[in-house]
Amino acid sequence: MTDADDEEKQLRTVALQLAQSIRLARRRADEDVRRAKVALELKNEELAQQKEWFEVTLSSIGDAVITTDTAGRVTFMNPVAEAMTGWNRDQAAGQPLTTVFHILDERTRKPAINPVEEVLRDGKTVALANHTVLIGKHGSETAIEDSAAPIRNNDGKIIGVVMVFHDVLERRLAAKTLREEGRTLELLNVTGATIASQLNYEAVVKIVTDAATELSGAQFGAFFYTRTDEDGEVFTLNHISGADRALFDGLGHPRATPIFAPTFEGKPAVRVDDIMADPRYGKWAPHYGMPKGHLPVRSYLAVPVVSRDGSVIGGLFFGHSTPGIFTERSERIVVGIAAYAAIALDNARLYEEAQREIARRQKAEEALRDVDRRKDEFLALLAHELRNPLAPIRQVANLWKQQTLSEERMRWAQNVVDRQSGHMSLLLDDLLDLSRIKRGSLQLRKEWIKLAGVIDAAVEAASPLISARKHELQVDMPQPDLQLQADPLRLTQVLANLLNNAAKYTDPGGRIRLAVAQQDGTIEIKVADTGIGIATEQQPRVFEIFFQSTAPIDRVEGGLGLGLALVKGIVTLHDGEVAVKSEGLGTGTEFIVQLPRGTAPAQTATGSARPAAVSQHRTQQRILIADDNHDSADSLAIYLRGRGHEVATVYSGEDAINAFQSAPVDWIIMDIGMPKLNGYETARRIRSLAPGRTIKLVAVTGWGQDIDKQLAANAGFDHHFTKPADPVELADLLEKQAVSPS
Amino acid sequence: MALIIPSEPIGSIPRPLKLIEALSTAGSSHPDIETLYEDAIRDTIEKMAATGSLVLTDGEQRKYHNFWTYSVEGSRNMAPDGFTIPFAAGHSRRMPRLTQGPFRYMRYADSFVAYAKRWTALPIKQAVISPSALSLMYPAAGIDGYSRDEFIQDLLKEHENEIRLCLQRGAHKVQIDFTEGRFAQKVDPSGALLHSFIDLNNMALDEFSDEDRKSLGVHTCPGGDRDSTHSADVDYLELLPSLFQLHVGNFYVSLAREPDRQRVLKFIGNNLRSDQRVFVGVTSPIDPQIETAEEVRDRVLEAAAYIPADQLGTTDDCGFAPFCDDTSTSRETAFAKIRARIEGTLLAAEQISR
Repeated sequence: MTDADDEEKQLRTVALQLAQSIRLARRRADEDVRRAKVALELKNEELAQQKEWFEVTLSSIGDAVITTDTAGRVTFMNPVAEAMTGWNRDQAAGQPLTTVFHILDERTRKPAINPVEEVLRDGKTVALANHTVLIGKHGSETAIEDSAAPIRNNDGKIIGVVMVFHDVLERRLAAKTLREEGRTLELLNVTGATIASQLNYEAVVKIVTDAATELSGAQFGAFFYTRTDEDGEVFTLNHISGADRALFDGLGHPRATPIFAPTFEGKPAVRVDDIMADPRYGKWAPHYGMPKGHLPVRSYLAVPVVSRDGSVIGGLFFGHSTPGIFTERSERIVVGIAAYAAIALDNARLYEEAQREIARRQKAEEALRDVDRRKDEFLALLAHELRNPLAPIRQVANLWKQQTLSEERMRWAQNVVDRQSGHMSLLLDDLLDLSRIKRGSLQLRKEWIKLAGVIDAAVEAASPLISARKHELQVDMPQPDLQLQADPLRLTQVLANLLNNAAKYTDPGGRIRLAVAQQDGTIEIKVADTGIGIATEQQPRVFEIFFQSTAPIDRVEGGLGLGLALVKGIVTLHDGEVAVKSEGLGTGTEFIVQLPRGTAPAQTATGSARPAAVSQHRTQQRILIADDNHDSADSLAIYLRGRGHEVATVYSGEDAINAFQSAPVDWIIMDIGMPKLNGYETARRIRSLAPGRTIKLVAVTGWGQDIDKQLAANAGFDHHFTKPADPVELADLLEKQAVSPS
Repeated sequence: MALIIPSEPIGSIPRPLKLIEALSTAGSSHPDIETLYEDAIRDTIEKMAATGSLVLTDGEQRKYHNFWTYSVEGSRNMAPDGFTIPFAAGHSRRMPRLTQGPFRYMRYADSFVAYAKRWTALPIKQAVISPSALSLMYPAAGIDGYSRDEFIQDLLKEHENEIRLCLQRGAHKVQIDFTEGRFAQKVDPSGALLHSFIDLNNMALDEFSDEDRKSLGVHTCPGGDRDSTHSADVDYLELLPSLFQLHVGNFYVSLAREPDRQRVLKFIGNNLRSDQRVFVGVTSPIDPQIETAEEVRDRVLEAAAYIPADQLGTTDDCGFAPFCDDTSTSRETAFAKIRARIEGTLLAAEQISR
């Protein structure tokens, strides 16, 4: 055997050994492959199970799920995603995500960012922006929230994207409801706080109406209510919210129809889903439903606003053009607001009343201060007016003391005293007349008289001043025989005052016109002048006591300014009216007196109405005056005698009894505080002495309390006067209640 | 559209004489060796490109000492007294013998790819030795502490690694030289060794993806060295059924010198799968006669009669100098033959396209 043969043999051996090893390796490799295959199959099976589990899981969850590959093509979608997108899984598979998952920004309606692109670009989980709307295959829109995340393999490599999304409508609705509740609470709090601190009635009404309109969901609301102003006048008002007020102007206040009445009667709220379908609707004239031009109302809600005292302040009314808007909740809210409103409106009303009372009191105080001020002015004026005549009288008195006066000088002095005392007498008469009018004790002695006589007397009385100031007087009296029922003395006083006034406040050389007219049962007497006139703002006050126009500083005549007040008082006693007209300062003045003619037959009228006739109508009485104060007794006696009565005086109780027993007496005027036998005792004795006699006892005392009056009455006195007694008043009493006619 | 029939070289081109002389005197330690290698590679690439070839190799200028042992050349656990491969011409080549484990490559062919790509932008094809060829280095008596099984595992790892590196370097194709197939059948006519070699190679190839396998190919020939072969006497048809079981997409089969080409072509045509392409040898490196383009054209047309044109390619039967010291064929002859292959293939393609 050659070396080559050996080598070939050895090579073959090696080759066979190799083959064996390779076969072994092959078997090992095959075994590895088989094991790998088994493992792979197991893995595949596991993966298949995982995939199935995964898909079942994704299909079972409530959220929608879509997966894509790295090209953004759909690989999977669960049933929820199918329902929301309108695509089924098989159709969607392989489609670009943007085709299946079409999303918009609901605010801009522009396509939203493709989440898959974002995830693939950034490799991070992304959440879609809010306000995303999914547009379904068939056009449906679903508000969604979602997120997208990368799907990574074990090496971390992104192999797809998974998107999870869900319908957020319910959540948004819940959030919206929550926001609305929050807003409701906030508005209720703000409304409550605002109206609690608000004292202005109209402001409360506005706040309440606006808040209730918003909270109830109404398109418009109104608060109809009634108010009483400071003059006691009742009027209806409304506040409108959510609509132009002009739309309600002219529609008036809701009437008490079966729909509105419960609200204005304070009954429970009326809530109707569709008022036009309500059986109470449309049955009442004149509109038979809503008035023309009324805002369309289908949903209706009305709630009364009831004060704490149970009175109905008004009603809150709400409307909406769509049926079924108002819910039990909105009713509860509005009822709550109405309760708030009632309290606030009560408070506001009380506050306003308090404010008005304060203002009224301030005004009254101001008026009192004004009266006080004018009284002071009057007193100063009175002092001045009284001093004026006193000065010459005093001078005359001094002349009488110091010199032996000649007869001529004496007559001059007597005239001075006579004139000045006459002037004082007129002043005092005016004062006393006015006092009587104010106290209601001035008695008119009405009779049928000819007006011409009164006018003549008045002209005569005023003539001295008219002549002195060179005025031209014109009297127009178309019916010279015109009669009326009046007190001639007082009516003369009225016209004389007006004529004197005209003469006084008209520059010399002016014109005065007295004109009479008759219409129906009224006689109108106008006294007009061309004088200084009266400022417009002073005209309403010219008839007030103590009033004198401030304008004529250089007036030619003085006076107390009582004249027009007397005119007013006397005319009023005649059931007439007096007014003044003037275009202002420098334009002259016109006084208009209107008097009722009266109803008695004209033939009973007397021909004269001169003041001198007064005494003729008085009933002379027999009077005994008893007072330990001689001056008091004597001065009263002089006055009463001046009034035409028969008067005797005594200065003690005993003398009074004696006088009573010795001569017939109608009246005994007696002081209470007499020594020895006081007035009470004297009266009792007199009464006991003549129990059947008609006699009137008048007590005049410094004690003026009720108990004193009672004591006097118990003692037998018929009347009680507190010192200093007004002699005029006393005389009026005697004449009015005359015991025996003369 | 004109038909394109791809045409690729097997790999080796005779080294320039200066390089051969330097290697013969001082081996890889010659002081000018790097310059000589560079000149040789650049010149090879330029001249091969000048032939019109669209796929180039570096001519295996740096494979020392040959296509079989380049990866373990210089390894300390190798002894030069391995098996002898006898060639028909009477000379023989001795294999190194592994003396101890572990088995490791000294170099990988990807370094050749990187070097070649410095000189051209055209695709570079790289040939690597098969694990079945290297398996013969393990001695029959075995190695203490390093079993044959361990060796086989190491061998497979190194082979797989080398292919991956080449692909990563951008090799257009990685061609596994499987010249021992026919030799295995010669050594073991029962076919067991051949089948085990196929299994061994497939164990390595199975580690690659289908996509990778499109860039992998297997070259088989009866072994060409000094114008001679080591196993041309084995019937091709004993090899081919097993050859096409290799898990690659490309097969480079020598055919030019086959006595009955049509018999072989018929077999190939009947057994080629649709995902496989076969590059038939249309030039013979061991034949000093330079083929004409027309001759090549005719051989292509002959092959196209059996093999679908879109699965057909052309190549040389073998490398022109698998051993570095082979001077039997000149570089000029090699490039002339390559030019003939390129031109003849084009002619055939044109003719088929008509």
